[in-house]
Amino acid sequence: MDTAAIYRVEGAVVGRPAIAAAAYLIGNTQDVRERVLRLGGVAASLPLALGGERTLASRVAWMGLRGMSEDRLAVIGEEYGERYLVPAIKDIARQLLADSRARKHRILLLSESLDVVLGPLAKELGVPMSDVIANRAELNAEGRATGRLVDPVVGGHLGGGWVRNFAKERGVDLERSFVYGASGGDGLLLSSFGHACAVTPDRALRRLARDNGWPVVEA
Amino acid sequence: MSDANALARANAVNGTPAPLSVHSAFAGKHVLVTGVTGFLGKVWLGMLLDLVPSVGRVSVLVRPPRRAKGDLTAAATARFEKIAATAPALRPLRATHGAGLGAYLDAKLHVVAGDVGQPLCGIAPDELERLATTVDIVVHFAGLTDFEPDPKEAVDVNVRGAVHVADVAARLRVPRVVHVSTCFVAGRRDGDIHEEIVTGLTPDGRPMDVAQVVETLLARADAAEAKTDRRGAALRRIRAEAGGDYARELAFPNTYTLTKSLAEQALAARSDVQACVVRPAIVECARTYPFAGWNEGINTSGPLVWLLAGPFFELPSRPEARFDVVPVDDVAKGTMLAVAAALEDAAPPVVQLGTSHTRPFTVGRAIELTGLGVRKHHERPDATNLERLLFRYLDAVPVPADNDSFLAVPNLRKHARRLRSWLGEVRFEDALPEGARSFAKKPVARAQERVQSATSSVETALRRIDQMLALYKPFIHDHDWVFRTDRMSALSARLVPAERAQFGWDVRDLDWRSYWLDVQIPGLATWCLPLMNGKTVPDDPPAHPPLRLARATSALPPSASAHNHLPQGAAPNAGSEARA
Repeated sequence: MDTAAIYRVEGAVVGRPAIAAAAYLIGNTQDVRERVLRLGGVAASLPLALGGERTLASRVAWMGLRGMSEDRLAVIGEEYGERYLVPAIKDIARQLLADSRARKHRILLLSESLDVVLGPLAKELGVPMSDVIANRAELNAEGRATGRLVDPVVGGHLGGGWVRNFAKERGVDLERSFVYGASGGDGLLLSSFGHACAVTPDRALRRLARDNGWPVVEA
Repeated sequence: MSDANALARANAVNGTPAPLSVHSAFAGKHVLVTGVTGFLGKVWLGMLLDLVPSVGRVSVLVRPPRRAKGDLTAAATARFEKIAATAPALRPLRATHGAGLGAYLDAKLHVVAGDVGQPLCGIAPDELERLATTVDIVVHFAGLTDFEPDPKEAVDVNVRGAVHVADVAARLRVPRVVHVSTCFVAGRRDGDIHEEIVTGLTPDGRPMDVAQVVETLLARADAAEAKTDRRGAALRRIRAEAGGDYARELAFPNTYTLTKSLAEQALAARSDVQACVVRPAIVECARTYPFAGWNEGINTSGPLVWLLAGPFFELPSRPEARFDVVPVDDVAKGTMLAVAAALEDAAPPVVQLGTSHTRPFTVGRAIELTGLGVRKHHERPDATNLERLLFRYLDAVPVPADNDSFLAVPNLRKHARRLRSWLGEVRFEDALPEGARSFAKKPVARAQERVQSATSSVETALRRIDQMLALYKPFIHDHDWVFRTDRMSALSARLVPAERAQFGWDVRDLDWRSYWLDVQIPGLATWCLPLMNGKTVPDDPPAHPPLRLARATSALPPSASAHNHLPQGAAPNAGSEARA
């Protein structure tokens, strides 16, 4: 069993929310006329995200990908990753990753976004794609997105059964491993591991960190 | 004869597939090749000389430059020297031999002055006599690949050229010929197209006779010429259109495919040659050989990419139809296999080299990937902000052929025409306030003239685009061909394991996204699109000292085929009958 360092990408590594990636991909569908309509779906998911329903928000936002080809997802996803995610990597995240690496921890990136946008980020941080846990767009036989995400969906509140399955599948020792999160929604996730750390946390996570005695790292 | 050759022949007789070795099949053989100055011919020749050094001798038929006088062999040799020294297609060959390239070519290669449009390819009689006693096979790449050329040129090169090549092959000890054609001789029909020659019938099943069709094709062009007093390019266009119309009447997409079909049928009717027809589909940028992205001239997808790389956002096309693109190096490998099998007298009569059977790519995917590729290209540091904005946010989409939107090309032409005519009628200076007329009248009139002239240019460009779309419509809208490659795959399966990586035919591993974005679009941007924009593409810098090949055409080196027993020393009066 490995001792791992699990980083929540949204918040702990970059400041951009996953919904921004959805908006970018959907805003670049092939037919210009469809873009506005589909972006409406992303807008509709915002109140859900703000209301704490991050998993449902993810599902609604990504529905706008319906009909998008695998080619486009890959190319535009990579473009988003290069243009917006890599420059947005927090300095503190780089330092923490360097520290994890020095301590020989296996680094895993955990994201609500699609795997296709995370390639450049993972490459920049030296993490193999096999150690990136993210959502995947479901594709039909013609190689086009159905608008659904492949289960299990990586949502906002991960804990319990999801974490146990994750640890089993990835061979991760939960007690000895480290987890880094940034928002209140990550509370359940952070409490599932032996060592938790709040990275530039929001108010809710800051309170949880104080209650649980988790270290808080500021930028 | 090698063991592999002997086994192959024995098994060919028994009817069981035998192992095929390209190196053994070519060992010590003398190959006469036409069309080595063309895109595919050059790649194939480079591959042969570079990767199959066991070949005994390669004679290349080269047309001397049109203005050449006197020693035409010397003129043809000089033309080939330039190609050998600077053609990017021959880079690997030059890299392998370095300063020793001249010596290697002198040992292996022999330039024959000639022209496939002439009887017996215009080869001088004494030269032909020598070739007839030593050549083991003729590989015929030469052809006119314009979709709608002047019918006379198309007949001379594509139909009569093939017949002339067969006439040369018929004089060999074993009359073998491999003729490179096109999958699109299938004509205007859909579905599975098998590796077979259908003779005496049009693609839609009406009777046709080769000689009669050739006669009518030429007569149609002449009749169109007789009805007009236009000359030069305009006359050429009228003749070409008349030929194209006739081809379409016979259910072929264009004059090129019609004449290629006529050539195949003429060859199939010959009992004095052993012909193998190789049909590539749309030959495009190389995957790896001579290097990734290599392309030459304006091929089929070049103009489409050129269109989509400009502000052109609606392409009349059928997205689900297969777009059979095949990298040139895969075609060269497949042709190598076919020639090797033909040298062992075990080649199928027809093989097809396409991707639609085992690794289909669609028109819709090509359009989308082109848009994405162009978008990536415009992200380069030197792109203007306007380019980035346009290509980041506007993508071309497939539309039905009867699309009547504002952006449809016929409508755009109409708008441009109306705008030009309105600009011709209205006088902006009259709309100026009285006080401003004295100083603003001239600048306003000049600006109006400039806008009118720009509108006229746009109208001309749109007319060209409309014509281009009509030429490409059969390939991207009207038909969905599946070019079966069963025989080619079976031939490749016979290849000895040690040679499979080098010469095996297998396109199933083609990753279309990676090929289109990382090979095809950059390749076209480097080697094709500049030509479409009226620019040139550079050759490689020539070596120092310049490459100079031996001119003594009859002096064959010791490495040539064991059955070479030509008189030494006498320089023939080669090319005296070759057409300049």
